[in-house]
Amino acid sequence: MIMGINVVNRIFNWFRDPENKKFTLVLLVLFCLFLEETIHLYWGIEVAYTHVFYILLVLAAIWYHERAVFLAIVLGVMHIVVSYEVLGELTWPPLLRAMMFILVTAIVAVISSTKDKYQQELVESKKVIEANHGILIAYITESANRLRHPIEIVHDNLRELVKQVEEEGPPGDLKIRLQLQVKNTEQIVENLQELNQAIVTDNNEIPEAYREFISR
Amino acid sequence: MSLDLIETVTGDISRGKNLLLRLTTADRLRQDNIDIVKTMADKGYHLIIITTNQPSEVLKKNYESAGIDVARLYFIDAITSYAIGTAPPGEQNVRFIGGPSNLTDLGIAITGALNEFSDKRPCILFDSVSTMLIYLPSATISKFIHNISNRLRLIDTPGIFLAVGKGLDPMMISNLSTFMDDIIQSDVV
Repeated sequence: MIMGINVVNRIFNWFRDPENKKFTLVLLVLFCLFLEETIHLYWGIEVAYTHVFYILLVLAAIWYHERAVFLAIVLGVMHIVVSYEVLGELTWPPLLRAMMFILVTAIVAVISSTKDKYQQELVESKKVIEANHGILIAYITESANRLRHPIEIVHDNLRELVKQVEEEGPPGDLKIRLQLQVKNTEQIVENLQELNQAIVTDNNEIPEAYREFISR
Repeated sequence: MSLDLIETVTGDISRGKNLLLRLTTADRLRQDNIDIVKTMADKGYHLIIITTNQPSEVLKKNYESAGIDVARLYFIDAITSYAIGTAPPGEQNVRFIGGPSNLTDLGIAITGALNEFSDKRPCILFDSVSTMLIYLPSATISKFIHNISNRLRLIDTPGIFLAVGKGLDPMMISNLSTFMDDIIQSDVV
């Protein structure tokens, strides 16, 4: 029993999957044509079976939005024509049913397309947030790489130099070693400016006043 | 002298693992540099030392005080000219580069040195990858190291890259590890 339910559930999910929507719709269109042909045209029953049409029309409206209204018109016209064939005259009930096909399809199409539009906007907005977050993380990582560590290098070099001066007196290459550390600190300041420029150019979330401040 | 480092380096090179990244601490960087140069020089390699950290003049003194024959060493010095503005005249076995960010000149100098010493068992020592971060973005450094390591791999020449471990972010270490044959971590990184 449970296995049977599982199988039905899997088949239902397969048909419901948007990946298989074309196949599902073609199958439903064929089924609706079959119902129109047998129940309406052959047996002359013109009520109840048309409820099945709504499954097709609602799914088409969810997946293809306003374009599904054309399918509703086709089904409606077919229903009216068959009804005329059976009764030999044009009556109100099939006309009303055809109009309901179109109306229900149009309502579902509008709701579905609005929902999809909002969903798309949400995805786009999420992408922008993620991109800004990525920029921020990259900035923090690069700042750590190009500022924290270079400062540590300069610190270690100067510490070693001080130690050497204390133990052995000023070495002959003292000037060049100090010049190097001056150059390194100049480069670190340049790196800081460069990184700040990068973040203020790329990240629109920083308020104007802060942008100006960190790019000085 | 760090015996673990020496054993690992010699072991790796003898097993054909030519490209090595040594992640060390700032305190041990100088000593590791000396240990590696001494070991490789003793094994008959002609060392090409690319320095972006200490001027070649300083390194030479360090090596001489450690008993290394500096005549067997060749320096590509990317820091001296940058620090003092001009290349000091009359230096033997040194090629000066305008600055560590001048990767084109650095690349040309490395290729030239590898060609010049191709029949003398050349070995490259790069001191240091982490210092390059003062001058260049991490992505550019990764690309440059990739380029150098590919050249070394093609001519089957050892290359040892020194870096301060805590100065490199995990992404950069991960990138570098893909170009290297082995990563030798210092115990206290």
